[in-house]
Amino acid sequence: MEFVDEIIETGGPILGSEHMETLRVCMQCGKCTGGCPSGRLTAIRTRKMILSALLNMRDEVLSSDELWLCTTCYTCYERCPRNVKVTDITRTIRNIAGREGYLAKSHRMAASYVIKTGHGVPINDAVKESRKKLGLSEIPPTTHAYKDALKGIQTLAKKTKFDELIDFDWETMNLKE
Amino acid sequence: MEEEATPQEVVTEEVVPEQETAEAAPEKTTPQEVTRETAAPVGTVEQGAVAVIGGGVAGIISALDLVDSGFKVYLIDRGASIGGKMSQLAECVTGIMPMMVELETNPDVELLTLSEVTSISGSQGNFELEVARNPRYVDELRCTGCAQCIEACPESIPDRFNFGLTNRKVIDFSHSQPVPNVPAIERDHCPPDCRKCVEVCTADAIKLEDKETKAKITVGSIILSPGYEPFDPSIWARYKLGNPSVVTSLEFERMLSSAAGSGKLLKPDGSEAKKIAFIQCIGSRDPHVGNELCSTVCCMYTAKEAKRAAELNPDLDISIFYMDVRTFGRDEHVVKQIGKKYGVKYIRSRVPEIIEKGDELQLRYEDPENDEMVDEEFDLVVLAIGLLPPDSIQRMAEIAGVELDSFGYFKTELENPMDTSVPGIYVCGTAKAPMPIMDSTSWASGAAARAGSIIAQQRLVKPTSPIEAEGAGGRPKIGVFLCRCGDSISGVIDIDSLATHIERLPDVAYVDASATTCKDAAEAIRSAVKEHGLNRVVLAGCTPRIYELHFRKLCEEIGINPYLFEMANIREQCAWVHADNPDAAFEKAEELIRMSVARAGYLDALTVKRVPVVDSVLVLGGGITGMTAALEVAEQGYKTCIVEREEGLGGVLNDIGVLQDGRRASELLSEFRGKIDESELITVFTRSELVDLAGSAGNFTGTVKIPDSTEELKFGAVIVATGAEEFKPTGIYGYGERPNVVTQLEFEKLLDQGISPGTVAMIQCVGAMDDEREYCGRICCGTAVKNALRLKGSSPETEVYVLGRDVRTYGIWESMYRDARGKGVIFLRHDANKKPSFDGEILSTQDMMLNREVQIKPDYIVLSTPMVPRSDSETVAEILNISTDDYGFFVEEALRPKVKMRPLDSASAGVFLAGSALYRPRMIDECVAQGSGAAARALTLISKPFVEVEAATSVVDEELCAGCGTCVSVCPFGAVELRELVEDVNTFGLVSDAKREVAEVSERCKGCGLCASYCPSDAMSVNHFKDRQIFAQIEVVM
Repeated sequence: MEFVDEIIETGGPILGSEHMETLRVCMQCGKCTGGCPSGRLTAIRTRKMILSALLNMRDEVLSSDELWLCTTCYTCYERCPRNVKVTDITRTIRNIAGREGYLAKSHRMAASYVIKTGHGVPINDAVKESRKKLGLSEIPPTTHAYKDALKGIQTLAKKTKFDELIDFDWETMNLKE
Repeated sequence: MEEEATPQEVVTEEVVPEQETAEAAPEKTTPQEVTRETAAPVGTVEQGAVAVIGGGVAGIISALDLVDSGFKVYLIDRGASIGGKMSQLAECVTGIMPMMVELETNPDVELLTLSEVTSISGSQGNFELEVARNPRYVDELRCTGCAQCIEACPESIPDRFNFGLTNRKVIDFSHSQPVPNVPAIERDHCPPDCRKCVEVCTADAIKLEDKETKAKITVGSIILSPGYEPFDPSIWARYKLGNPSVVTSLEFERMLSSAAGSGKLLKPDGSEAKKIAFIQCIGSRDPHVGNELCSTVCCMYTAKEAKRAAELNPDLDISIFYMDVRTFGRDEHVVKQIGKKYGVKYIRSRVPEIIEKGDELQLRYEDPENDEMVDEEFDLVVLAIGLLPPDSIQRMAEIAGVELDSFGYFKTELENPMDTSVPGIYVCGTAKAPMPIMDSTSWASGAAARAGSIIAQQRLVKPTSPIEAEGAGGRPKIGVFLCRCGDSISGVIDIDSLATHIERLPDVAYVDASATTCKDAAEAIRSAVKEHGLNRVVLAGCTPRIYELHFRKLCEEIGINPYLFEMANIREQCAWVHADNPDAAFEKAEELIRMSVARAGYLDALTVKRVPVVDSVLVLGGGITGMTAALEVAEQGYKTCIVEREEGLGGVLNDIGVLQDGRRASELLSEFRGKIDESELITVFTRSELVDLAGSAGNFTGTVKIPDSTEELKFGAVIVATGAEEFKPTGIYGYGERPNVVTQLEFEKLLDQGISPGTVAMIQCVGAMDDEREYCGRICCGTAVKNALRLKGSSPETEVYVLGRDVRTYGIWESMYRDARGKGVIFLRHDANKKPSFDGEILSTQDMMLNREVQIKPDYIVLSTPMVPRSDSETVAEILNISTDDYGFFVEEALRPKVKMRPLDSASAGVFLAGSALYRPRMIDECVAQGSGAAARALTLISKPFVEVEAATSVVDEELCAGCGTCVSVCPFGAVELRELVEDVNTFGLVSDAKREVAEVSERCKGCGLCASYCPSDAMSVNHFKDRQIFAQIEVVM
């Protein structure tokens, strides 16, 4: 199967195939790259990534570092003059890359926090302070408040083999080295 | 109309002798009844009328073509003046001004400004329109346009015409030199109880209590020409339109207009611009604003705006951010020129936002060519805004009951691109689709032909009296009229002081310095000639290119021979070019006028010859364009004859499988052929060629070579629709040797066979945009997209690659380009200097967007080659006396003010151009529009009983002529021949019946003067440019 079709078929069941088909209509205008907030600081070139996918350059795309530099802010997604669902397409490509063992270490780290705390980004003092200011409870009604729920999440991680995907070590409760 | 009962119209008309017309017609049936009606005298038929809704450039051209072929027109516009957006464009306004004035003074035109159509009832042939006329608060009939009210008005408001860059008064003209030349009041802004304007108006024209009124008009057909809506980018905060250094392209036009005076490109804050960025596609190719189409014109106008800015200040640093450069024809040169001459940079990137950094504007973009991210500061950003359907279109569609297409424009069919869904209602201009001025005007002429066909039986051509060389008698009494041209001249030159200088010149009997517009000048001339018994007129104002004909006509009306009128150009040649030096401008103006006055004294009254018109048309070429033209002429009751070189009609369409709308081309063709077979007024000669053309506009004789013999045909006009043919790129990519390397037309045949190959690669610009053929083929990108889509439709598994440069799918083609991508067609982009290579198996291309080589293993390579002129186009041009460009395409009369406004007129009177033979190939709907348009242009000629021949042409002094034939060989128009002269000569005794040869000038003479300057014995001279007239001019300034 062509890489383009693989991306569309992978994302289709969750995001809808029409949503994913927008990948094809990209006209390479570069508006995504020019306005990318991550691109201000990093090497991500969204336009080129999309074109590489269209040209079925599967290995290059899946193994690239820049695939993981998108912060999923959806700026390009909102602005694209062809309505290409750029961010969702990027996330789908990451799913495929993950399956193939290309998951970036930073993303595996974030994922390990999900298993450890139930959150990709656990709460910290600054967030607690903000919540208080906004009149919210200091601790949100998540695994932070309901420690038992964390067990459920960890069970899910095992059942879906999420732990294997990110190479999680239950003994050290950390990523395998 | 009030002006109808002038004595001129009582004069017995000089009609074509009936016999002659009948003989002149080429063939069979005689539409004599129809012909007689068209030349009917006043009052015998009720004149057919058309309502033209929208008075921009398209509406104006439609209206002119209609009145010029004997119909009445109601021109309805929402604004206080006609002229539309074109009058706001710095470079274009001089093109439309004379047309506006021509309409204003034409008694067959009724202008309904500040008006909106509120209902349409009835059907074709008999529509009734209700028009709501909004109050102007100034009586159009009483107002003299003196502008005292404007002086007196205490209240200023931002001027919308200048996008608030300047202010206007509450009572004011909508812009300089409006038509009608009457101010309007923005009543909501009047200060309470202020009646200053009422107090100063001496004509009692101010009507503060004016109310909306209703008018009812009855017409046979309707043309919708509401124009477009410029995209408003203020809906996007990230383009910072609130910042004074960010302007739209229309605002930039106004800045350029203002800069014409100061010579400096000033930003709204008053500082001079140094570094400019243009951002393309703002509001185009973007579904977020409801416009997924390409606006077609922005690439072109941006290049022109950049050029004008660079001309003002060659040190300007200019960058243009684009996606695909879509300029065609002459505009391609502009793109190249600004790059070479002024270093304007084209950067392929769609800029997402403007960041304010102090006084500077920062653009962050990806530069794919250098593969880097760039932050760059500019001090002025111009947003190239796109064209949207006008706001009024929905309501107009409801009122007229016509359908809109899925993009919001008036819906038409491919082969009827002017016809809306309601018979008798037609569309032209940008309300049909985004299109440039040249196409709008072609379409407008086409719509005029369609609208005229409904009321063809009600044509009414009013007789005029012949112009004879009388009235120049006696000592010259010259009237000199100085026009201020709004403030365009008087802003630089002190007109009153100039007048006192002119008064002292010999033979000057009267000087007037009151006129601010052409209309004022006309009024002044009209009254002063009578009052002061003037016999010659000098007008000092703009270029004679624009208004000379108009004022000649005026002179004719008031009893002065039109050749006793003279113009001094103190606008373009003084006020505009020497704006920075008023003293020098003044001095030069004074000298130019002195020269004109000197010349005026020596001018001769000339007789204008009238040639009876043969009321039929010869159409050269029987492709879609020619067939359309012939049908259109026939629909209005005139005969046409199609001369086609091939076996049958149809042209290139015979080789096309499927059209862009999915229908088979053959279906469309048989429909057209059927209509032609049915028409009794159309004769077709196939396998035939025009080999000679004699005569002149209105009365041509053509020799046509038909199989086995020749035929002499007589006709009044020629429509050239000889088309173009696909370039066969022998040797390129193995074309001609490798059977799987084909052209697009050949590929259409393969598609007809239902092939389903594994991989197909199309290569664009093969034989185009290179050293040999610099031009863009214009239709090849669309063709590739169409064929790629067709292939994907019948064989979805086939991999299709399109290897090109810019993808030039303008207008509606943009949506097909998107669809092609959506179906999986891959577009790759290569540099013009790094063309793809093919080794017989692998096709390699260096993709610019990825900066790496891409290899394809194609089963077929399809070469997109440009259409090229037919091999005999130069011969045809020579026979017809028309011009060609470097490649052999025919070109229109490229002189101002005709350029763009009259794209279908050749430089040879009576010869009209249409379709792909005319200056770059065209799509089918464009060919049809031009075919109809050329028919409308021809109809303006053949619907009249005679044509007047320009009298400023060469004359022979037979006494002096030695018959050397130099003139014959230098004449570029074939207008001079030698004839035998038999005379009695006294040389050492009388010789009777001595024979010698002398030159004779025919009506084809254009008055260029070549013969006069080459003639070794001074026997040739040009009327109106006699030696003594020119020497008189020189003497007064030496």
